[in-house]
Amino acid sequence: MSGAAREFIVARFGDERHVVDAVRAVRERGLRVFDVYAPYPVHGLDEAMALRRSRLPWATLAGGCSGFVAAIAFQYYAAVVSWNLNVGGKPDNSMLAFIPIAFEITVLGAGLATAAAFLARSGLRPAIRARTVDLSATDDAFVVALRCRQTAFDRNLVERLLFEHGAQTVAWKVLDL
Amino acid sequence: MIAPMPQTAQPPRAITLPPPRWVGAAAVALASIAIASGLTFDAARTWSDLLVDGFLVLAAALGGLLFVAIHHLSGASWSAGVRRVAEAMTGALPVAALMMLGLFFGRRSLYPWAAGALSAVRESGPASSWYFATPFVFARMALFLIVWTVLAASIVRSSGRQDLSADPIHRRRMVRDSALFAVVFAWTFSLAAADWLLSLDPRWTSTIFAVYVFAGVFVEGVAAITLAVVLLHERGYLADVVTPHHMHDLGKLLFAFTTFWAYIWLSQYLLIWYGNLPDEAGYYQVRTSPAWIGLFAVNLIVNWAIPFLVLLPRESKRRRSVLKRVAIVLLFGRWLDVYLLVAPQTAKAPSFGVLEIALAVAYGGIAWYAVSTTLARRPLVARHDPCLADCLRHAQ
Repeated sequence: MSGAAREFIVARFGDERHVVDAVRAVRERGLRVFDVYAPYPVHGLDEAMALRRSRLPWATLAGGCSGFVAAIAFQYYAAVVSWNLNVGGKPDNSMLAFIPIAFEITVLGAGLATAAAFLARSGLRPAIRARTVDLSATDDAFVVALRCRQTAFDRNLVERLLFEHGAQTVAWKVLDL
Repeated sequence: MIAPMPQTAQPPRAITLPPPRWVGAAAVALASIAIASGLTFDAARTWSDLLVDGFLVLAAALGGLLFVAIHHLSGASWSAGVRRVAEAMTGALPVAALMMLGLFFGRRSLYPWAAGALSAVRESGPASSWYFATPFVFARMALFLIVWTVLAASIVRSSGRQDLSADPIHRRRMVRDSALFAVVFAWTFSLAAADWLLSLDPRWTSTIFAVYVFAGVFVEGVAAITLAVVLLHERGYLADVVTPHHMHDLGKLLFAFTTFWAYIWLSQYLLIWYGNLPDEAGYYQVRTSPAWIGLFAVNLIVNWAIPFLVLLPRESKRRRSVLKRVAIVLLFGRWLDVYLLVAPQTAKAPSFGVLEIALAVAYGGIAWYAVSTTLARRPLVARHDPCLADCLRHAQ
């Protein structure tokens, strides 16, 4: 999809603690981890990979605020400007009655914005080709992928490092990730 | 990765932890003086303050007990390190029981059903005469308080025994008692909320009232636990047990339950405002009248708007200094919320003066003394808790 196939070192692990240790050790040697694939969220992995905090909450906040403003604005327009009805003798601008709908639309807007931002940022859309680092990553294994740069790599050192930290297999693959 | 087991890391440090005895004595003395002078000059106001403050002490104790019960029932591990703090809060239950039962002597100035006014409202209201016969009401109150105190004592006793032996029976007993408490509490607290607070106006009912009061009780419990944990941390306790991850969880609970409280607040207010039925609307008519509307608005700001906006960013839920301030604001908010349940029924206009401050400080001091002495009696971190290892390496 993204075009150029590149060479990767793909290490498979059976235990989440080994993955965290291995990632930390690899990074301590000054090498960069391309990505880690895990069957479930692993505590401590984000810190070990030194990932910066996700910016997804900002999408949530923006979606929620837009939803709130839109809901209040529409209800105000409908009830006060466009088509005012006398409901139980209440004033047209009964803001309190708008709150449940504003609340629901806030939640809806926040949720949809979060999902949409996540899908867009991850490049998940219909008809994309699955790019799998290792088939075991779709099952129960933890897989660490390193970009293999000829100039900066001592192959034996990296391999030994990964095995030392509990890798079950280490493979060299040309992949389009 | 795995922190050392705290058997050795957290000695009881009982030498510095219990508060000096004079604090308890001073609080009791202040309470006696305030009550005596208050009853001399303005009995009605004093009794309604005593109801507010007594209920808040009870709410803190019940909030702690609820926290422990939920911890055991959900099999939570993150809260194992602060379980002792929550358990210690139940140490205020016996004094809270005395405070609430002492209202017997002020029943005539607080409750219309005790003042003999019930026959006049019986036709129009839900309060029936046999249910609100004074002996039955106070027998109920005493029964509920005894049941809560016994269950709390049983949980705390099992927890103490677990310190001495790793036998899983202790944990099973705590889970059993927690389950029992959860069921008993749901029923008894609903009735107690009606007896102590709703019956101040026997003509008015709200089916969500008990939930509303419960939401406040749980907020108060979590706020008090959070404040206690931060204060202990500042003094060097729990240093290797409570991390920003644990604070984050407490912050999330505060954030969630202040919003839950606001949700229930709105659910009650919106429906009564919308229906505008004469039976129901009077309650809010009083509270939105010029005398009370200021406090009515401040209540929402303090109990929801401030904690919601402050705790919304992730970082502020993890920072002890922020959580400390929010917890203190919320404890003031709890007082105001209960004050607004009580005072508009017993007074024409809000009165906030030396009497209110003295009584709140005195009751708060008594509760604080009871909780701290309970806390100092056992190791600060429960030993042999199977969840403790998970708790120590807990991460978000």
